[in-house]
Amino acid sequence: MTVQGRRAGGRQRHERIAGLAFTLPFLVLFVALFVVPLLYSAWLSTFRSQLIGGQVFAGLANYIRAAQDPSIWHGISNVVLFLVIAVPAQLAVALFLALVFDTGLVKAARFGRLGIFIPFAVPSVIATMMWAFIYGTQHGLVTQTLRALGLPAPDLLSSRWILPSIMNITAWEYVGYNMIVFYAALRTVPPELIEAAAIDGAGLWRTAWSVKIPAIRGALLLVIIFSIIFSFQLFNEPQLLAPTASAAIGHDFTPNLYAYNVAFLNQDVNYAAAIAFALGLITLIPSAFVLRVFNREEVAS
Amino acid sequence: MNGTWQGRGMAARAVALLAAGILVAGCASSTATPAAGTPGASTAPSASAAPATAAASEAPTASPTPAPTGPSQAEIDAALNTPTTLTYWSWDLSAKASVDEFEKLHPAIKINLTNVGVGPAEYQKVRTALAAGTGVPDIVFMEGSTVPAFALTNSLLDLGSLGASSLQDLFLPAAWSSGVVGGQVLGLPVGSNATASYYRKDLFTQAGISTPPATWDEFAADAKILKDKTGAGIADFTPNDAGLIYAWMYEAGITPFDWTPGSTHVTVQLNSPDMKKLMAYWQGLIDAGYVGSTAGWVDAYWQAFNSNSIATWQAGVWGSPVLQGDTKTATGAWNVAPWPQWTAGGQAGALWQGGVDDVVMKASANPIAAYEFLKFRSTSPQFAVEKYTKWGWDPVLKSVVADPAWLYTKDPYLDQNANVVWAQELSSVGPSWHWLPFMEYVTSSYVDTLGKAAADKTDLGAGLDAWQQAVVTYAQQQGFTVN
Repeated sequence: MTVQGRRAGGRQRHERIAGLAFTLPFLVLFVALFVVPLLYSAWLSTFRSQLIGGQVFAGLANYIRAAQDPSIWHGISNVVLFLVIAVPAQLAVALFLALVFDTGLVKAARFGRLGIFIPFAVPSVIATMMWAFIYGTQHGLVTQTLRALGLPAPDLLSSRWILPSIMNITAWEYVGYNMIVFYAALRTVPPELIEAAAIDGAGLWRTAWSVKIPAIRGALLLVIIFSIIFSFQLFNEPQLLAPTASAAIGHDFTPNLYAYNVAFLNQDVNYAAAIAFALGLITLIPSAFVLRVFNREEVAS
Repeated sequence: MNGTWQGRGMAARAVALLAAGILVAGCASSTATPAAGTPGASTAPSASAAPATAAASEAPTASPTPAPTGPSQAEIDAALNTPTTLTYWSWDLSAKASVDEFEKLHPAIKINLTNVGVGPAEYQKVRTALAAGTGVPDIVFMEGSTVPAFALTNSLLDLGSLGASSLQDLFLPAAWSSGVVGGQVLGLPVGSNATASYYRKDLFTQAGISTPPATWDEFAADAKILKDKTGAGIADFTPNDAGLIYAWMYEAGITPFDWTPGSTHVTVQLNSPDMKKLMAYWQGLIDAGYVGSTAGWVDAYWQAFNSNSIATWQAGVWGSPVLQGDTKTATGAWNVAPWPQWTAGGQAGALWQGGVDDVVMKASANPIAAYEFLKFRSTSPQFAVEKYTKWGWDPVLKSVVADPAWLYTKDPYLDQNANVVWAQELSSVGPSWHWLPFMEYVTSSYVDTLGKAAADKTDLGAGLDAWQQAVVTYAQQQGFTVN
């Protein structure tokens, strides 16, 4: 008993050392490139820098300022709109496509999956530039097509249309990726479950709704959380479209864009750090909400 | 050649887009200088006068006429003959040629030329280096509009202490003033940037208009005729390019900004009655559909030129290569004409973002050699004419404006002796414009306020109010007192 215990203890210690040795390279990088910068910007966010007067300790003043800054709320309202409209729509499309491919009834399925996935492999910078040309008011594809059909062409880069236009770009980019995640999860659903459902007389819709979707809730949760974080961090697309759609995409179009401009245009690094931190905390709210909803369902079922 | 023009376009874009304007500050001082007789002393209170006097007293040959201040010839020779490496950050296309020439003349000097980014991208890197305290270049090429921002942080060497004030008479007044802030010579002008009106000769002819508008009243009348006869808009109110708006203000004699180095007070009057009046004029043209508001410097903008939707374009001398490179409009389709005037027979002009300067950083270990390079770049006669015929800046030197080799160089794309127009514009620009030490913010907030009002075709007056408010709020947040 004692001998065995000692032996087991020795092995545990050995494993612990080995584990540490394996994770150390990661930990070093993680601390140096993530934890330290994070703490540094937290520290920065408690100061106030002015062109006149330099840097002084300000406590939470930057956060209070952020809470009262209409630019922040403007940005947040945009990403929240994005979150409640674009994210569910994109996920629904991705899920639908994954379910369709999973039925095995599609011809040339591999080609189709690849085709839908390929936009994800296009760098978002390129994708946005491409769409900017398609949306262009002078000779854009959309405008030309509508004109050729004798229809009025909306200015897709105007204040009114810019958010749907950006939603469309991100959908184009990410539907394929989300679809692949769902599809991979669906492949792991035990065939017995689906067979059982078929024997019970469930059709394709019923099987999808009552068997397959509940079976991949883990993947769903993952993708939803990622999408929430992505929404709050929306940056590349508006930043790249801004030169073309300057009136529609202000410097505070999204909170991330605003933080960037505060740091690099307004030269107010401290306030930008506070915005970034506040944004990080705000992102936690919907993420926590989604986790909670899923957990409650888990308990209920 | 194409690459060159492409590059020029880039530079012009940067000048136009993000960066702030220039500073033609310190102008008041230049008029006072001759009276004082001591270059560099001028009206600036103590700051610049003190070093100038100190330097002058070192000069052994103090004669009744005050000698130019600065180091002696022996000191200059020593500096130029000591092996030295200078770092020069520049996005100017003529930088490479001038470095090569200078190194040929002074083999002991090696200049490391780096393009760290165009306009604001470069300023950001300079700020980073200043904050870090290491890696600060000796010399930086920047827009005159940005000089006050670095004057605010006290990062620039007062070139008056090296004798720069004695060069003043060589330069056109507006060009000279672009490097002068509050009486201190902080930059030597490399290129000027007068604004004139490019117009589509073919569209005007088609509309039956034989001469370009000389006044803004004629401009508005022509706008209607052009629209009716050709369908073209007369101009574009670029909603993302405050550079054009500054030029309009400048030409109308409106100076909305003021700041003096050392002061914590700024003047911001973007929604003054004069500004409201100026914008009311453009509002009328926008509402009538004669003036569009396509975002500038992007594909859609050039497409608008290609589809003959824009008949005039206010721009600098770089406008010709930009039109040639970025649009498909034919050779000879465009001509350049003096700006329309607010009063008939008037002679007002404007500098676009105020031109470009070289500055020496205070952190430089070799200020004398660095300054000699600046002097060469700005004043060297063997370099000057070539620079202005080849690299797309307006001349800064009086001698070049008077030089037939420059004056009568035909612009092949415009098929016109355009420099005659530029010479006229250059002579009519007054050194009366001041910039704030945070023009990057002012320029970027334009896009969110007045620019947005133009693009959305809403009330420009309300846009001006919003712009004013944004800038005042920012200034106060930065610790300035305002107005």
